[in-house]
Amino acid sequence: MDQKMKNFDRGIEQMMNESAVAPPFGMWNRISAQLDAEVAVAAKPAASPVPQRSLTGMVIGALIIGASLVTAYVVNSTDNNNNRPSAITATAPVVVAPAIATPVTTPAISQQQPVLVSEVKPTAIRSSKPKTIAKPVEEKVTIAEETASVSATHYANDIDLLIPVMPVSANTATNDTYFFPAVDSYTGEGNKTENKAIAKVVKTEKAVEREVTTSSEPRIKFRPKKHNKHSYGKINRTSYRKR
Amino acid sequence: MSSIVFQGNTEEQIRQGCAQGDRRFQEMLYNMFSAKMFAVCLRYANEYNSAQDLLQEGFVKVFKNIEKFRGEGSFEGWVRRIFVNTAIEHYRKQVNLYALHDSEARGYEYYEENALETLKQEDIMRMIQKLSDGYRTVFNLYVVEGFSHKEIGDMMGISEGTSKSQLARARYLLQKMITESGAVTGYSQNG
Repeated sequence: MDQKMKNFDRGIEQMMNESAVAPPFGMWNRISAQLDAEVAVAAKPAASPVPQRSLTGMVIGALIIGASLVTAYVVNSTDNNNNRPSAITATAPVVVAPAIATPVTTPAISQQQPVLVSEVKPTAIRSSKPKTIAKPVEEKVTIAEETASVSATHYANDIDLLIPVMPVSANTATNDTYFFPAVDSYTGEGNKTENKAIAKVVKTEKAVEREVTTSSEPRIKFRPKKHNKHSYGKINRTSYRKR
Repeated sequence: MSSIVFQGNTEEQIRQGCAQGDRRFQEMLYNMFSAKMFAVCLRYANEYNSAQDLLQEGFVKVFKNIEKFRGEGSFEGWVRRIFVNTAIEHYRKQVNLYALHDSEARGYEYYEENALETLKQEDIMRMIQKLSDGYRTVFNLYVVEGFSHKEIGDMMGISEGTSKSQLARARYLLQKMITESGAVTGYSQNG
């Protein structure tokens, strides 16, 4: 039975392999047209996966970023060069030649005039971070004890010190702090009066310790209540109770 | 290797011309193989128009891949294989194959050995076209192209047993059609 099957298969195989059927007319034109179409598609440049608008936007964005970077660099470099003395000494003479050569005997005017360029200092533009307003801090300023002892000789040479007007007879040493011996204008310094007065100026300022608070308002402390609630002041409920 | 001369050009010259995209050589190649390949397409297709589509698609593939032919084996066999693969790809998605029991496939047995001698090629081809896509494809691949069941299973993505059962069913239906056509009276139902 298997042999019969094989014979059947072999008979069909021979018939099919020997078979040839002419294709319909115009089949080659269809194939040729499809080949032309595929060649045309292959010749087209590959479309960019990114749309044209997106590309344009990206280019514009890149230009803007580049321009801002260049500007920042220029500003920064100008800021750095601000301390340097500017070496702009443009003394190029401007030669103004007469435009019209006239036969007048007057000599041609050739102006050679140095151009004065005033030095312009560029203003530095500094970017600063926004300052954060800190909480007012209590400052404790302690003024140290200042003690100044000035000897009498020092005051004697000081012309600004006032000399009390007093008679010569009263030229005695006292306990006055601002005592100065009277000077006889006729006898001068040759007075035998022994001046033992020594002016002692002792300026003493005791240390003052005070608190300086920058905040203008007095501090109000809110103390939490027991039940984790804050007190915002007392409410007068007397009138309410009377009702 | 090949001594085929077509319109004064050897097969190698035609291949080279086709590889360069010369339309004249492509037309020569078409004229050389179109009749044989159209018969192949008719066997794998279920209708005439589908066979034309397969023929067009197959020749476009041949022209696009002709430089890949390395001269191993006959050029006609290479072209034929391209057309068979094109037909398999075309019907692979449509074919819904399922395995059959042997008892179903062995319902008819063939008695008359000379049955095919009385039939024409066109008649056999028409009967093959009447088979469903799966039966027709497996029958063509096994009987005409000479592939084994394992190769058919790999190509079509089915198991070897499914290929065997599909072939048996195809044979049964083909013999039945031959019997019903009245050309052969040597069939008898067994069981």
